[in-house]
Amino acid sequence: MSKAFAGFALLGSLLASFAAAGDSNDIKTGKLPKPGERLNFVSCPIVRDTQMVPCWLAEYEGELYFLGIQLDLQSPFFPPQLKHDALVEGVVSDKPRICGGIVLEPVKVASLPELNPACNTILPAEGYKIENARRGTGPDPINLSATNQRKAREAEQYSPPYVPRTYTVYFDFDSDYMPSRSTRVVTEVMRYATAANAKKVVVTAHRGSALLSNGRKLIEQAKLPEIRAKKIHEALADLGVAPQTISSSWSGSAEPADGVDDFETRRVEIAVIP
Amino acid sequence: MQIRTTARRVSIVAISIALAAAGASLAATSSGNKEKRPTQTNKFQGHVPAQNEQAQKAPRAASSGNDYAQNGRWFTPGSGAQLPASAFYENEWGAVQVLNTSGPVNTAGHPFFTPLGSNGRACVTCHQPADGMSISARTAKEIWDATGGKDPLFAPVDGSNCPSLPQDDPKSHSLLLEHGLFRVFLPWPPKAADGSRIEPEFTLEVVEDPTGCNRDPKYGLKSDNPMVSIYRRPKVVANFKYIEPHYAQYFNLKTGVPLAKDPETGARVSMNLMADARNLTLKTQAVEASVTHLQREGGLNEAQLTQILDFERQIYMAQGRHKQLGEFGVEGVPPGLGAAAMAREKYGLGNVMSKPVFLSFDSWRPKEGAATKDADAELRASIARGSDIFFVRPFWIRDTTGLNNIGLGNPLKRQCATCHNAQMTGHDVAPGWIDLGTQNLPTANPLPHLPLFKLTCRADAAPHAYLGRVIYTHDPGRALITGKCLEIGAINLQQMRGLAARAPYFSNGSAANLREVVDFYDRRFDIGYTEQEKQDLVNFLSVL
Repeated sequence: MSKAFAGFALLGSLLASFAAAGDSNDIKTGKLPKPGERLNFVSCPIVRDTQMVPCWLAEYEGELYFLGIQLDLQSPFFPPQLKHDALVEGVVSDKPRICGGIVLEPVKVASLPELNPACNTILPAEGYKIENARRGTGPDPINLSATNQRKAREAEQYSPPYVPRTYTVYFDFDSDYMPSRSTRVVTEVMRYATAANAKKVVVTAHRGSALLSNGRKLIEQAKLPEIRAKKIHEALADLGVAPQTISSSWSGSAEPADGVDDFETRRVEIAVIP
Repeated sequence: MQIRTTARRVSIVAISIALAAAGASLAATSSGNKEKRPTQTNKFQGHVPAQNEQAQKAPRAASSGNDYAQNGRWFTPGSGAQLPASAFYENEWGAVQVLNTSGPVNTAGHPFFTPLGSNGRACVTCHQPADGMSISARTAKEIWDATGGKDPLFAPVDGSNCPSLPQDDPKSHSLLLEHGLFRVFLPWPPKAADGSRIEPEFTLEVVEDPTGCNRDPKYGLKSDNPMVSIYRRPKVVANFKYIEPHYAQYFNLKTGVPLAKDPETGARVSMNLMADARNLTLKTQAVEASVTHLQREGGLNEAQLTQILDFERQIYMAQGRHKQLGEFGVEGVPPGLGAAAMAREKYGLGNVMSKPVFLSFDSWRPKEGAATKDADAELRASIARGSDIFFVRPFWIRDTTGLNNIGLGNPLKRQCATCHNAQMTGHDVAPGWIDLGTQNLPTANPLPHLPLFKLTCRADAAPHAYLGRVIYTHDPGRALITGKCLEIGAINLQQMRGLAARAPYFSNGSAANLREVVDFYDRRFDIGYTEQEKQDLVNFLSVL
């Protein structure tokens, strides 16, 4: 398992305890994927109106797959968006179905930027429910966001010896937006680089691709690596990394995709060299 | 995994120089004023020099005197009247309270209350204590009726639908008189802080121009100084303890780039001051306002700015009394109500169970086993239920850029306080520009009196997350500043205090009263509020 999937495993173990009712409503195809099998596909996401929070699903070849539940920006799972197709890259697990869907775990879900008005399905709960989620559909129960903000401000100070470190920021397919989980990485780069008085901070952006299970290959727009590199470069300088130490480069050609953790191709690496 | 890199170094400096070279001059237009006074002219930034040019072109009112006699509510610029330390001003729901924590304000010569420009207006003209430090459409109408439209409030530059219209005709001021709207004129294409031209991701076409100002040869998009005119409500000047701080340490959650910095101090800012976040500090806002609203040449000097900011940072405002339930801030009343609570409490995130946005309303919940229920108890219970609906009742929030597209999912099943999350004020700490749908078709209320634009996004630009690449809008909002397709129609959430004093609502005044605010949300998100829930919400909003 890649490092980036570690967080999803945690979520998965949590969800395993959730109730899964009404399996009789599942979409049946007669050809179920085997546990461990990788499934990469583009399809409309589906949200189910379960108590205590909604769960997110996607349908592929007549089968329903569970992606994750709605939580908040502290969660490793960011739900997809209706009105947009979702790129789903996951592994079939042997866990009990959740919300009627075969559990993909780990799974990476990205909203594709172009509109697809056909993606507009909200399913009723149909007896399914989510229990023991960290948060329901109301206010933050334990002031988690505020706690995280405070922690960020009181973050541990780095101390010598300073060694070269590499950080990775992942992007959604064809997107240059950095959500909070990405900006946290950039902030950490700044903290380490300034603490270490880094001689070099090297930003390297890549153009991603994805091999789908049906053999189709998706390649990101050629301009994206440059945009991503500049965005991170400028953010680091704005945050206080010495501008003369930052350099950026980007790849014009797409990373090869083999259907295994292809989301890793859509990335920017930031090397901090003390 | 193999890394294939085409090594091409990025030089931010080189990019900046290229942009600056391609853009317009930073220098403000010559004042032509021979009076020697300290000025901020050289600090005009971004959009302000172009605004200055148009403001100086616009005629002044036929009578720019202070024509409206004091009636105990209205502060006439330059009157010298004292603003008490605490004052209550009646409105249909009770009274709004204005609290000056530095004590009574002697307004004689005070730059907030003195006509510093060329049209007789002062800051206070549109930020009246009786109207919750904004101004209501009703007040505008009263002043028109009392002065025959001669008050500086109706200055042609932005107190009329367009400066080129006949100014003595009330129809030329219909947006202000009927909807509380002032004209905001911004250079198009937009200008960066250094004055350079921002290349927008979309073209802007005028589809409907009921005020005539966008097609006006002198003030419009094809004039020598191309300007787009949109129409907005004045924001509240109070409670800035809650508006100025930035919640996130570094990044703007909505855009994924660092929060902007105060151009003077380099400190990060909340980006929550204005509907489109175009001015980052109270200082730059005051300078722009002096140029546009007051038609003052040369900006403001440091002493004036200091005095204005000191005043703005000590004033608190909230509804302070209910016509039926009496005064707030006393025993038994929910602790978040009243202006004293605004002065007392602290800035923070309020969408948390431990400390709700507007604090607890438990004291107004019906007591178990209470023998009789009177009308007051019923009303208090309704307000408490309204606070619950605001704070905990979930609904599907969908197709809202700035919320659903930042990692939370579309739709997101949450409550009002998800976005209205700032402690005590109910704005969005994030910062809060979102496309709620008040400006863009098809979700906006019918607004035939406002201009309608067709924006067409470039194929290589990221589209608006839920409307795509062709968008019809009455006000592109933040996109008029950034040129970004994704931000079309996005407007900063405003604070929710003193609502009873300052109808109509939303930045475009499209909700005439609190019920229409609730009705908009009910329609927009298909919430299905019951009649009781709607009334509870209105009662709740009326006491803030």
